[in-house]
Amino acid sequence: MSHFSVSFDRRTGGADAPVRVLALRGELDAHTAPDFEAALQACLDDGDHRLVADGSELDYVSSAGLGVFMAFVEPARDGGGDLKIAALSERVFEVFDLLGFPTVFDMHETLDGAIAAFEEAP
Amino acid sequence: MVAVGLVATVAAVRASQASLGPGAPLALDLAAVAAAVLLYLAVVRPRTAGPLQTLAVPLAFGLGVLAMTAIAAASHQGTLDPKTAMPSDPATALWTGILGGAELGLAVVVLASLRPLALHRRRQPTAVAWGVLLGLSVVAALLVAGHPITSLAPPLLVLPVVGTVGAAAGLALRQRWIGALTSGQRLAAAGLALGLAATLTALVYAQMDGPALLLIGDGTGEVRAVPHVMALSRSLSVLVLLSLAFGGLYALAAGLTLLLGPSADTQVQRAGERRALQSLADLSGRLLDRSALAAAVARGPVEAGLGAAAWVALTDPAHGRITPEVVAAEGIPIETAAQAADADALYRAAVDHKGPLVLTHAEADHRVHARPGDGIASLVVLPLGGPDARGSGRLTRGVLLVARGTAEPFDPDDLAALDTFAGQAALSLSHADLFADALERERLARELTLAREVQQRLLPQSLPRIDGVEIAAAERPAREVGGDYYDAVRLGDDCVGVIVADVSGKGAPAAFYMAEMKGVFQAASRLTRSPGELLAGANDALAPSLARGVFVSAAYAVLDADAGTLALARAGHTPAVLVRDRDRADGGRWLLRGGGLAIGLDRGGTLFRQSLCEQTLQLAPGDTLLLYTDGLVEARDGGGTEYGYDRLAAFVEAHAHEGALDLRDRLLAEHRAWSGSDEPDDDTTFVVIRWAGRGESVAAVDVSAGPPVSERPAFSSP
Repeated sequence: MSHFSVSFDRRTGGADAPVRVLALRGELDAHTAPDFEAALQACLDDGDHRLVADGSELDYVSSAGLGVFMAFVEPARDGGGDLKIAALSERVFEVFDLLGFPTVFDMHETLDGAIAAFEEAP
Repeated sequence: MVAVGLVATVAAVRASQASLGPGAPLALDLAAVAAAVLLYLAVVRPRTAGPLQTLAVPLAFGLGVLAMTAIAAASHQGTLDPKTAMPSDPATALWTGILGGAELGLAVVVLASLRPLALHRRRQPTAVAWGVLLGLSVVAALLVAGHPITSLAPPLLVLPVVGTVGAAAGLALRQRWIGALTSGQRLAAAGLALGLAATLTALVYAQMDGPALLLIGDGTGEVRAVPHVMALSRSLSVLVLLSLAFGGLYALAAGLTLLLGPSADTQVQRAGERRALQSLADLSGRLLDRSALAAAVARGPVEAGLGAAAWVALTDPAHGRITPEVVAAEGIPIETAAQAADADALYRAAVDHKGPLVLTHAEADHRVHARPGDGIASLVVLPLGGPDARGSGRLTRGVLLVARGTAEPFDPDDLAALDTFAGQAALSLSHADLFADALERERLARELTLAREVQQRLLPQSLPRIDGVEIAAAERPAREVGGDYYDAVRLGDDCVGVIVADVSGKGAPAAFYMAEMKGVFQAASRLTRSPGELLAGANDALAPSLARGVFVSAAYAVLDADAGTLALARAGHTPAVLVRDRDRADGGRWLLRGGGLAIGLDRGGTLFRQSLCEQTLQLAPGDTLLLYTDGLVEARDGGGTEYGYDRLAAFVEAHAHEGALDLRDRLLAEHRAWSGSDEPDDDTTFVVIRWAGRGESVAAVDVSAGPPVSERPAFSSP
């Protein structure tokens, strides 16, 4: 049984252009990917397109989980924002890296770095 | 009124009879029988009262007639003139009119009262017996029509009389109405029934013997005694006698059954219902077809005599029908049933009602659209399965409607039986649902098996044979079909291309992309020998058709046996394992991880090309390359530990010298042993490519800084 949760109630940054932080926890796999999808969709529906996935407590990601990132980066960018990935553990980063995610995604070692990246290049 | 008029006329004509024509007695008898039949038809009603009241009415009437008979016997000895069979004096004429009329009235009341009891939950044999009883009584009456009362009865009379008695006995033995009574009611009903039996027996006796008879004759010679009613009409007296005898017999049987045979009787009473339930239970065991089951559910109440018509309306979630529709009807055309009532509204009302919903005057209900001719006067609505507690909405639900042609109320035990029946029916229907589910699963399994066979044919049936090259492959899908793909094609005489690819996700969707990947690979491998160009072409071809969030990782190696070189490119795929013979100075094991994005990650293809690298290698004899999907390294043992790249590379290094085929078999066994299961968690595929060499000797190279490969971008920057 995989345990996964995503909380996405945190907004940071300027009030006119907030950055929405999605804190991922546990295992992101085929069973839990729909939860992450729903959370991202809710953010987009709220009009938030500047999104950071905080992966500091993400233990595992499967190809289904990676697919969610792929599916939502374009809508976020089309909305003038981005979906950045931050603070992955070494093991989880390795999975992203193997597939070439760092080439396509803006990935940061720290959450603050990812949030700051929005300020530098909104 | 007509009947009373006829009786009065008969009495008057009799009383004033002088010498009418020879046909007059016959006409009078016929008129009397007609009057009796009309009187019966005027009085008879569908059952509107309880059984106690039903018994009390004829008992009271009977006691009244008995009292009158006693008074007549005590006050006056009536006589008839032997020649004319007319009352000899006015008092006799008066009593003849009063008592004869009263006896006829009693006979009609007895029949009309007992009819609803005898026909309780009318069944075909009972209805026939009742018809025989009435019909043969009339026949018996007609047989004596016109016969002078002084003459002997015609011998033929015995036949209808015996038939009548037989029908009466048959009816008396079937006391189904008793089951509706509480124990207190049973005792009261027994008293009433036995009282009625005694009264009617006394009256029957008074018809045949005793002081209340009229004497024919002057006291000399042969004297015959006849009942008063016979002085009115001989036919009428036959009718009265037979009716009273039937009433006495039926009441006696009812009384005895009420007193002595409660349990046995209940069993007889329930037999029909049990049969109906049993037939349904049998059906549910064998026939799990919804429509056959629905037909049986509609048939049950009608066969058990609980209603004149019944129909079933069901939802069909499997076919997207969420409001109940009439699917079966019994005793009523299905079209009529469908029009007759708003099944959905009644279903919801019955669910809210938490039990059988009874509409005694159904035609007055706004949810019932039946017309008077449709035979729907009262209606019971029984939900088949309540609201789906789990909210999955997958189960069939609906309603069973049972109608009667009369507005009579349904007995409590009728309702209990119907309720039980509906519960059983709902259970059977849910079994049918489960069965359909199982059938669907089986069909799916068959299709998956077929899909697996199709996918198996997409994998190479044989691998290219090239001198100096050993190739061995294995694949273990996690399900019947998977998203792993490998292939090997000969490129010219001395060259072979080997690809391993992994579509993200599992099952059927992944299998479709795998098939597409095969087409792309087969086409592109003929156009280029460059691994980088092939993968870039694959990205161009596949990316637009991949669903959002689906990607494909792939590794492609081209071995040129003539040149003794190998070229490799990796599109986000697991790093290839390279092992060089440990006996060599440059021996070792490496994970080859050139740059490259998974196919689909960059749909435009620019980033894909920019990041893609090609690695090339001068092969030394014994060099072994393993291309594989992540199922191989992500296999977990019982403790949850991943097999991992290091273990894999070490295993390949340890067994590479055994040859490609043996290495493949060992690796399969290792994978199975590690995961401890014959069913891998993830699709697992790998291909071993071993360069046995062609007897050449290759100088050792410097591997101190990494694998003996050179790497360059697959596409030079513009």
